[in-house]
Amino acid sequence: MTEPALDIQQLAHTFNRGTPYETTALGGVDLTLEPGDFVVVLGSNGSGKSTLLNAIAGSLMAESGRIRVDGTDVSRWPAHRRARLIGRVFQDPFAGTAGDMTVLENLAIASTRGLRRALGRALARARREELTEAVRRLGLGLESRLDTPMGLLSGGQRQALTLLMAMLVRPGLLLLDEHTAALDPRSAELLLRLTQTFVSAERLTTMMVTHSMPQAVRLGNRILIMHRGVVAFDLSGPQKRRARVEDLLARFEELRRSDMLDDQAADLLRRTYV
Amino acid sequence: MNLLLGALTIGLMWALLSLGTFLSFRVLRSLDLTTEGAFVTGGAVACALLTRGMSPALATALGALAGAAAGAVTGLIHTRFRVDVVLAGILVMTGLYSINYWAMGGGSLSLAGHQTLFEQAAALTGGDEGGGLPRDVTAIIMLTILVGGLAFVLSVFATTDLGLALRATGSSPRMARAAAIDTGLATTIGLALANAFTGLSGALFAQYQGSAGVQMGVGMIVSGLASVILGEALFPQRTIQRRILAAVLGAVVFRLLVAAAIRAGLDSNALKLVTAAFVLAALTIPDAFRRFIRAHRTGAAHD
Repeated sequence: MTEPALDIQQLAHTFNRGTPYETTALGGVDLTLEPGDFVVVLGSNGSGKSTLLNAIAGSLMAESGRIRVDGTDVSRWPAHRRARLIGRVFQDPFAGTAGDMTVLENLAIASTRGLRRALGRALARARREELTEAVRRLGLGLESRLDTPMGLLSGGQRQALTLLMAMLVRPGLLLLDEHTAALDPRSAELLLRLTQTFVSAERLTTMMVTHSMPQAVRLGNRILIMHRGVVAFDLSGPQKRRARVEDLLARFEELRRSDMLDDQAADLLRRTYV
Repeated sequence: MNLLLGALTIGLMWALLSLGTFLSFRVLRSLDLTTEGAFVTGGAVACALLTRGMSPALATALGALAGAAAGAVTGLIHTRFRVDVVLAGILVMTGLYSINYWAMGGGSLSLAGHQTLFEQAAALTGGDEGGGLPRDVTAIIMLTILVGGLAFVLSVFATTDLGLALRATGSSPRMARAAAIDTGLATTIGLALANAFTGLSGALFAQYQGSAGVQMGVGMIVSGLASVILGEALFPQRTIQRRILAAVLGAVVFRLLVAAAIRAGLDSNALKLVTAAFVLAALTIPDAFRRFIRAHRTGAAHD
């Protein structure tokens, strides 16, 4: 039996605990991803989907719960250590790359993810050729701009390179945090296609957070809908394959109604007892 | 002529301070006030060891190492205890004042009667009296070799795997962490390296002037910043190797300008005020200029 690629148990986190602003961002999430799963995570603002991703990556240390990646318990590991197993692409196209370093230098850093970094030449000929070939596979013509500072490239180009960088060392888990949200429609479409191509070619276990239901319908083999810090719906197999945007909208409507019911019930209680 | 040679000599020593400031301020993007203390520590340790009979080269190297230790402490306070880097630097700088005092056994320490690195270099060429090269000339030759060599080593280091990790940590910490770089460790290593340069600068300067004193570090961070900024203004460069070279040249030009200003009658006590004003102007004028242009443009559009 193979280990799950990601195994989360009772992951919980509350922001501003003990203050009037206390919010439960994660209310005990259980989630298992099999190797090769491509999960799209949906949810309205404040549903906890980004918090979940940050808690997995270690940018946020969840208060309780356990996270295993490829069978390794990483719950107490800081973000940089988890990055040995996890590849990431952020929403902000400028966060995933270093603007005042060259394209090649950025790639060289990504190509040593999880390795010991010492005084070896970062851009020795063999590695240079290897990285040039990897950039050529993106098909964006960036192989002619390897010595250009990253800061001179467009957001779309930087994001495509960030995606490539996340995969240069095969990650046990790939986390995409609304990685097309800050791009213009054309670049977003291009990046989405690259994501699809790479993820399926490499059979990477992937979690992608998005606001876009068409993206959720189009990509992946599983859809999670987060709500109030827990997984409200988990669609996989034929359910996912058959899912259309309207179906997803219906689920959101269902969540909205149950919220309104809650509010109405609270209102009723208030009127009765206060 | 002597004034020029003297300015060049100090400029070359300041180049090491400038490299240290470049590392902390530009590469790591941290304003590191350890500089003020580490400069003195480098000088104090070198002098203390020289007066105990250690060889000048070794004493100088240990002065640099003491600077590195100070930088590492700032790095650890900043990254392990999450104290703001400016405050961490201030704490270490303040603590170093006492340590420097103890190292010298007082507020200052004279090297009279002990051979320094400069005298050793002069002796190699036969010395002033022996018909050899003037003291300042041998000093300049020795410092050029030393500074050139270290700048070269630093440029090579900048493109090693570790060098890239340090640069990424300053440029984009989130990217660095996503690439499994321990940004806390990288920052600590970077600050140690920066202050090794500063300590070395202080060790050389103390030997050049023949003594070390607890006050000799005052204003060093601003001098370092002025050198770095001047270098960038005169030699705007993009690659890391050329930016390192620009920091070196910036320091030399800075000291030449200082010498010229004093020659022209500037009160040497006004120097720190002028330098501080220069750094302030260099940091604010480009931005203010851009805002003025923008305001002017929109103003014109309304007409």
